[in-house]
Amino acid sequence: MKKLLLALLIAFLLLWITPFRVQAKVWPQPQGHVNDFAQLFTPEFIQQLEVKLVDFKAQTSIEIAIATIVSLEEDTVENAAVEIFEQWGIGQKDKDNGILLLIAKEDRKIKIEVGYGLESVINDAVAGRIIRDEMASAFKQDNYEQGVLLAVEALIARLETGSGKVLDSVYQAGATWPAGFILLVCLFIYVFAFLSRSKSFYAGGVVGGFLGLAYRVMAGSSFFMIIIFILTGLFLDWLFSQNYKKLKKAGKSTSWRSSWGGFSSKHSNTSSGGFGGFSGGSSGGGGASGGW
Amino acid sequence: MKKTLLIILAVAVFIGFSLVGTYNNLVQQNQAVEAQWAQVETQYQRRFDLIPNLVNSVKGLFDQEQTVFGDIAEARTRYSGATTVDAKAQAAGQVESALARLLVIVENYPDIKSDQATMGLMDELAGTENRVSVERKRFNDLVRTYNTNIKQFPTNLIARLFGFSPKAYFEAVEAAEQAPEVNFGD
Repeated sequence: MKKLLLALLIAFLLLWITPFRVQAKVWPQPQGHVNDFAQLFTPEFIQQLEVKLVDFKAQTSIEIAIATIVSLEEDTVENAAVEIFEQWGIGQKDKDNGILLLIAKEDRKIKIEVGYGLESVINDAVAGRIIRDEMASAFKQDNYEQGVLLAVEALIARLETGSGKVLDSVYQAGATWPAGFILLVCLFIYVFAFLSRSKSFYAGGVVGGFLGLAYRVMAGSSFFMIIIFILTGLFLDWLFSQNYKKLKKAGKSTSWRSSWGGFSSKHSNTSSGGFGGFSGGSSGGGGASGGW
Repeated sequence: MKKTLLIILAVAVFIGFSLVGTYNNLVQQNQAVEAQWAQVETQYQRRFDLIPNLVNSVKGLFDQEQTVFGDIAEARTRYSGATTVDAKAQAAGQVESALARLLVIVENYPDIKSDQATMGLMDELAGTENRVSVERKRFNDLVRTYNTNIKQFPTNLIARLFGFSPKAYFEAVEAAEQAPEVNFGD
């Protein structure tokens, strides 16, 4: 009887696992500010441009990304730019101050996609003029490096003189990690400090499940999250119980403070020196496109 | 027997929470669709703010093309008077096709299209059309997510219970779906 009910419950849970989302084409992840997928540039040029863009970001927090692709494959350059911008998240999340310079080699198309927060400085007319005056003529002579360098310099010059005008974006992107989640995690850890003292193995799962449900009610997350909560609960209960036993055995203090609520070792995030991705900015089709 | 009761209670609580959770989820999706519609309207407004400039810069130059200007003005009036989303979308579609025609006309006058000021205006206009199509696509994506969710079992039961109905997609006018091509290349 119990098993049957449990099976029913799990089957019921599985029904919710796949919330529907509209999928777009998946573009490759950025490798840096300069992403020369079409191999138009020399490694020295990429290096030089990367340094320039990293410096500019350090000064202004504005992220300028360059992407070259071989072919649009029947898509428009405007669409491709919006998709890449969306997936890479160019610019700071709260300022939307990113710019994407997209070059499609075989289609001979250029698009400057401007993040919401920079639309007032790099307006469409400015972007169009940069494409026509700086890029198109150099590109016609297959001098891609020269064209891109001139465009980047023109963009930076414009951003530096007009940066006083950069307004904070009014556009709010999708959901972020809510503060409620962090609070829940704290609560979670606190509860487990007690659970580690209990004998049952499933209590953690039960608590996890209910916290997951509570989180769903508050934040409207998918049902998949609840399963993760339950599994996390079971795992943490097990982990903390082990830790508790070990500490007990070793005769160490098991108080809340000395065991960090059950975490005996501190975890530290080590960041590698390489490119860590862009900062989550968004755009809405602003900028200009052109060809050569 | 006490254990069975406990399990039944747990299942009941679970279903109760699920109901609330699903309901809240639908409310959020509903709000997201409405917020995105506001974003589409913002871009429409931007377009209307732009049109007078463009019209003024080219109007005197070709008097024989008066019908286009008349069409734009009429569609604009209709947009301001529209109250429902559908009516607004339709009026916006008319503006779009009239503008596309205007761009073709400008293409045919080399003197005008090489003028710096006009070029800037055309960039702005093309950019606005692109913004409109981007925000509209996002609107449709959100509507599709919402519609699919409220039609799927078991969410559909909850949606029906609380009166969540499917939303209409934004249908772009045929042939005006793409931003009008402005090509100043030679």
